Amino acid sequence: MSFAISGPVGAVLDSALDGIAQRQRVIADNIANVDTPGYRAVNVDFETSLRAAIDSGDFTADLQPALLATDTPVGANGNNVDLRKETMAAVQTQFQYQIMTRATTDRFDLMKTVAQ
Amino acid sequence: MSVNAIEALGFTPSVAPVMPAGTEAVNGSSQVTGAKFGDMLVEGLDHLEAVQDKSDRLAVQAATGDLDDIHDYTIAATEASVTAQLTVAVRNRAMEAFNEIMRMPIG
Amino acid sequence: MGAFDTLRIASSSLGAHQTWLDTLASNIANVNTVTSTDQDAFQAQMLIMRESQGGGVEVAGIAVSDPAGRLVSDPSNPLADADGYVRAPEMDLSSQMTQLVMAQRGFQAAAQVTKDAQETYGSALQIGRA
Repeated sequence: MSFAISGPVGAVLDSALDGIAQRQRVIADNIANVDTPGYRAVNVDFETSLRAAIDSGDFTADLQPALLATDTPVGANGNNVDLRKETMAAVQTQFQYQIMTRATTDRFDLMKTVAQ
Repeated sequence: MSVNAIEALGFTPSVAPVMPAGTEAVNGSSQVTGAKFGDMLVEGLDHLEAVQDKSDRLAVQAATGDLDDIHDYTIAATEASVTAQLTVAVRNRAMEAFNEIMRMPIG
Repeated sequence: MGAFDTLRIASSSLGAHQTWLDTLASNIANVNTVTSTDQDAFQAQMLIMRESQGGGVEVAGIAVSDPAGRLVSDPSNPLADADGYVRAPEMDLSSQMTQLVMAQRGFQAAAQVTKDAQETYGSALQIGRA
């Protein structure tokens, strides 16, 4: 018996939180560079590697989110940041983060109840 | 678990004890396979130490500004706290069980 | 990478856009500034932004418009030369106003990012506190 409370679900939640935090940083970067000539917006994809890890059941590797340059049409100054899209993504990411923190807390609460 | 000790006191079970599958009689006594409770407790305490170390390390990182994500620390700290609660709960139950066995009237 | 990167990135954006707003304000204030032909015209400032290493944005430099400016005929102006010309800045007001809207929009977006970041940090601190 080990009192390990991490386990596969904990690993999934941890990776998701890391990926979402990374996405928030990248969105902030895209928004900061909305007027920078030649800047290309970047997307974060952590879901693909997370799904692969869930399918294989192997969570030993540290899952690194992929940073993908976008190839959407470029404006007059070579910049392709879509402020409307980034703002929406920021809102969604915010709530994703809150769902994940909530799920993490709920798991710990369950364990606390078990310990009582 | 051996019943030799109480057999020596003159206790003879009228019905042969039912053993879970995977156990076999050795030299007239029986041996339960699987981890011993003491080993499990030691393993649990090792794990508790590990999660506390991780939590401490991240707290130091937060103090020096080297922490990557706030949730890294809060998760580690909560994990350490819940693990401590679980460990104490298991210890308390074990102590209760032990005391109950000690209070058992014999003979 | 640090725990407060989002805030740092948003802050860099607020700073760069603030500088842009300042230069635009100065340009627009001087849109009617004329000088005599033996002097340089008012030079409009053009902010050049670039992506920062490690995230965020920074001001790479400030370019200025041609000091030759435009020669404008204004014989009634006390600064006018013998032929009635004064030097006006090489600047397009409508372009300045367009940039003003862009700079404001960028500033507001960065301000929203700081709010989002605070909310995220708040959520992260609530883990395990139900």
